Parts: sequence; C-alpha cells; structure tokens
Amino acid sequence: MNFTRHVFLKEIREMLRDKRVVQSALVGPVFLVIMFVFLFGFLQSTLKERKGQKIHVVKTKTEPSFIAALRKQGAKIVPVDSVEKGESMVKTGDAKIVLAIPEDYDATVASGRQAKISAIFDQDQPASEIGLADVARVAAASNKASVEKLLVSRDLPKDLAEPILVERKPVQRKEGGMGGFLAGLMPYLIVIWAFYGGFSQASDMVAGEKERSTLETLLISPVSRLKIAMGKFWGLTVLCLTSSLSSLIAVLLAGSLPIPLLKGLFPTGVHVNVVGVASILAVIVPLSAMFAGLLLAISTVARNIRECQGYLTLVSFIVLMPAIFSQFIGYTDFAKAAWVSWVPILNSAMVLRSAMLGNFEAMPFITTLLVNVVLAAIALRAVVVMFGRENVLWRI
Amino acid sequence: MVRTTELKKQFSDAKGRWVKAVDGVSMEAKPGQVFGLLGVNGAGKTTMLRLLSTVLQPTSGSGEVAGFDIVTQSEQVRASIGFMSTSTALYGRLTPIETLRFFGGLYGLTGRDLEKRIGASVERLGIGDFADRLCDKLSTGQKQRVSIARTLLHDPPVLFFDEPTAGLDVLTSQSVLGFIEEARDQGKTVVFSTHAMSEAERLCNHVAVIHDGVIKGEGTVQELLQATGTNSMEKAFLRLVESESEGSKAAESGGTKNEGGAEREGGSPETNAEPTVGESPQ
Repeated sequence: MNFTRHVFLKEIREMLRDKRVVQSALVGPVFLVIMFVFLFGFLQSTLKERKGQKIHVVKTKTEPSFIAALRKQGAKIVPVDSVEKGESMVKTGDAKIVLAIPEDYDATVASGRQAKISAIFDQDQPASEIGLADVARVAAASNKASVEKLLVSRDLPKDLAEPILVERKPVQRKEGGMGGFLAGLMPYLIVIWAFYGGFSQASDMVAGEKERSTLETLLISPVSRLKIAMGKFWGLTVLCLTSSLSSLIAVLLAGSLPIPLLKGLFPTGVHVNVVGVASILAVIVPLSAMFAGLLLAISTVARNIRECQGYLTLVSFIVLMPAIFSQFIGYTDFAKAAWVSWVPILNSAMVLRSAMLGNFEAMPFITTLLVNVVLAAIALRAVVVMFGRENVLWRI
Repeated sequence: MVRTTELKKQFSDAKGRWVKAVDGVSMEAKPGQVFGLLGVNGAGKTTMLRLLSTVLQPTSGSGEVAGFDIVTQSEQVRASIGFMSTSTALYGRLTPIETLRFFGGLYGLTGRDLEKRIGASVERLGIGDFADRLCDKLSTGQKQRVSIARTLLHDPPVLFFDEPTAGLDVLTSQSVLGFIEEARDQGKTVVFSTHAMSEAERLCNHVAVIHDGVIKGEGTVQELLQATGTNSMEKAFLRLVESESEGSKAAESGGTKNEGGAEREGGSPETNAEPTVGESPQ
C-alpha cells in the first residue's frame, strides 16, 4: 500500500468536508477576483466616459462661449455666486473644480488677445486633478480651433496650429494576452491565493492534530513519519494550487462573459496562449509546494492552532511584501532587472505577468522555476526533519 | 510479551531543566495478563507507554514489545500494538467507517480482509447505528467504542491502554474495562495505566506502582498488600508513595538516601503535569 497516498486522500477528504477550507480556498478566490474585476471595470468605465461631470463656474452677466464648449463635451455646469464661495466649496470637497471666466472673455478672444480663465482646484484630490485635465483639454481644443480658423483665413495650412503631432500606436500582441491593468493585478492575486488558500487548513494539519490529540494515534501506526509528513504536504500543496488556479479561472471566466462593464478591461477578450498557460502552471506548482512546505513547517512547530495562526499571520506579511511590489514594479525600471528573478514570490509574480501579456522569456522563467523548486525542497526537508524530532512534535 | 530493562527517559521542562520522567524502569508483561501501571498524574505512566509504543525514544536502557526492539525495530513494534487512551481523539470530519478504513490501511489491511474486519468490529461494538455519522457528532460513549474498534481492528498481540476510562461515565467505563478483560482472555498482552485503584484490583494480574518515574513496588495485588502490611490497594499505594516522600525529606535534611533512588534534576517531585519534551542530553 502507498501510505503517503493513503494519508493524502484522508487529508483531502477532511478538507472537502471543512466549510472554512472550501470557502477560503475555493469560493473565496473566485468571489474576490470576480468582485475585483467588476469593481475595476466599473471604475475604468466611469473614468473613461466622464460624461455628466460637474464643473462649477462663477456666475457672469452673459454666458461665455467656453461654457458651451464644456457642455458640448458632456460637462454639467453648476453656477457659483463668487470666487470666494467657489474656493470654499473646493476646500470642503463640494466642488471638484471652479472656473472663474472673465466677463470680457468672448470679446478678448475675438480681438486676438489672450483670455485668462482661473481654475480653482485641490491638487491633493485626484478627482479635482481629473476635472482640471478635462477643462485643459477643452481649452486646448478651443485654442486649436481658433488658430486653425485664423490660419485658414490667411490661406495657410491649418496643420500649423499643431506643428508636432504625437501619434499613439499601441502594440498589438501577436497571440492575445490580457490587458496591462489585469496583467499587473492578476499575478498578485494568484500568488497570494497560493499562500492564503492553504492558510486556514495548515493550522489544522499538525498543530490542530496536536491540540485534538489525533496526532498521537497517527504516529503510533506503523507508517513512517516521513510518509505521514509527505501525505500531509501533498494534500496542502493541492489545496494551495487549487486555490491559486481558482483565481486564474475566475479571471478567465470574467473575461469570457459578454458584459459591457468589463469591455474596457478585456477589450479583445482573454487569450493567454499555450506557452503562457504552460509557464503559469510551471511556476504555480512549485510555488504552491513551497508555500505548503512553509505552512506545514510552521504548523509542525506550533503547539496549538492559536500559536500556529499567530506565526502564520507574521509570515503572511513577508509573503505580501514582494507580492504587492509586483503590482507596482511596472512603474519602475526594475521589471527587467536580473535580480528580480532571484527574489522568491516576486519572481513568480513577474513570470506570471509576462505570461499574461503573451510574452515568454526563458532566463527569468528558468531562474524562477529553479528558485521555487529549491525552496520547496528546503521547506519539505524542514517539515520532514521536524516530524522526526520528538521535542517538536510533543510540544503540547 | 513486553519487557523493559533499566528504561530511562529525560526531558527538559519549560525552564530548560532536565527531568527524569522514567528512571530505570524494568518490567515484564506476559501474554494473557494485564500489567497495571499505577500512579498519580505525572508519575511517568504516559511517558512509559509512549516509549513502549516508540513514539518517544529512550534516553537509555532497552525495551522489547512482541519480540521487537523498541529502538531498532520501531515500525514492527508499532505494527504489533494497539494503543488507546481517552486523550487520543478521532478525526471529527470522518465517519466511524472511514476512520476504521483509514487506520486499517495504515496497518496494511486492504480489500476484503479490511472490510470483513470492519464489519466484525462494527457488529461486535454496536457501531452500526452511527457508522455513517461524522465522529464530531457522536457522543463520548460512541466515540470510545469507535476508538476501541480502531485499537483492535488489526488484531495486535499487545495492547496499551493509557487511562482509558478517565472522564468517562460509569456505563462507558464498564464497557471499556469489559473489552480489556476480553482482550486478556484472548491471550493478548495488556499494559494498562491508571490511577484508579479499583480498576487495578479488578483487571490487573500484575501491578507496578510508579512514582516520579521509578517503580516503587510491584507484584500481584495480594503481594503488594502483604508487602505493605495493608488491606486495600489504596493504602498500599499510599504507603509505597509516602515512604518515597519521607525518604526524600530525610535525604534533603542530610539523612539517608531514599531506596528508590529517584532523583529529579531541577524538577519538583510534586509536579503533576507531564513535562514538556525536550532534547535528550545523550
């Protein structure tokens, strides 16, 4: 009989009957990821469309033409009695931006002189900055239209109104890939769920068995401690892996749903190629094994469930650091740095990011795989050694 | 057969001091007999049984269970024993049938043989009514019956019972004691630890009074009563244990060394709780 498999199957059976495990390792990642996707889809569509945004304008005797231009862009104009009142509203957050347009605005523009519009905004509020950018865009379009009109009236080419044009040409990936935003977020979620998926069960597996006195019965059986430890290790690895894959499947599901809200996040759907899927799996499997070994080692050292959860909470902060950094590494120059491939967790997140963007780079992938396999082996070895030490197992 | 020679186990306690939990115990339990280890909490009974079941390694001395050495043939020893105590629990998310299948598998039982044994155990112990209910949902008495079935499933020649009736109601206790008697009558070697004198009197063919890890006296119940000049096991037990305490006091005040020679390095002899396990100094 294969005793490791026997212990493994018992662990899996127990896990599937534990509501906490099913909720935290299977339902949790799917629910959370779908919630994330919908939330960011909503935010993105809101920021993109910006129609109906309120722009406060200090009252004038006659309505300047600039206000009509703002309305044309979908802005909702709200009159304010005075500049002072407008400043106060910006300070209290009742207004994002307040424009003070001079009474002679249209006359000044018509005479070819520069008209100054004062924009009162709060530089610490992103919404206020966005309002300012909207106003600046309308002003730039008005400026361009005025100059073009002037150039045409003098028989000059209207392109002179914008002598330099920066044309945006986004790269089209050959075989699909996720959007950049999701490619930044998803590795983080996949990595942390590989850890948190096993979090609740880990404390039960050895520390819980010590606390409930079931471990003694298990150790009195003729099966070697190595096989018992291995059975538990593989059980936890499967749980970590399942949890991690659940989050990935949730994104793929969300991407395949024909929901208008998510169109901005998945403009062309989700098409991670075969190499991408293979490299994701190749990274997640040893990563899950590494986390399982770490979690099980902590559970073996701990006297009881409470002590184990205390240790796990501390360790979770260490796991979170590189995972969080992976989200922002795209804003730094480190994304391509060689050392990144040697930093556990961060390296996995970076390989996952590349795979989701439809890229595959051999060296970072091989290094990451190597680091994960070595660390998983070390973690497993630690578990096996601790299972052989009576002063660890009997710290009840 | 269970035999030990000068078996010793030292632990470090919570303060890092070395405590002799079992200090040179030599004993012999024969097939068809119940060997009783009688002692207060913290006397060394559980440590003794854990040494015999090979989950703990002795600091020195030797032991043999069912003809196998407890240090060099630990897997064969574990395959030859059944171990039960009130502290050993069942997996709450498994049913009694799944529990028996799991443990049967650990003892190498498979297929029809395993199912046949499970069927016999279920019938014999009256588990049928709750065989498919999760162990978490069972009453204490039902759990204990499942524990007995688990202990006996692989039909081991040697059985260890570590205070198997502690915390149980009278009916369940009687049922457990009945199974121990049955096992004895089937010719199995039974080592039974307890602090209940009445249980020792009822079950044991041979009793060893253990205190501070040292055997203070042993023999049949009658032999112990005669040796101590008392008319009950309770009095005999107290006489044996108190003579040790008086000896210790005399030794501390510069008098004679006690006969048992029990020295607890740095630890308090009155300590009731089992010490924390630490690395052996050897």
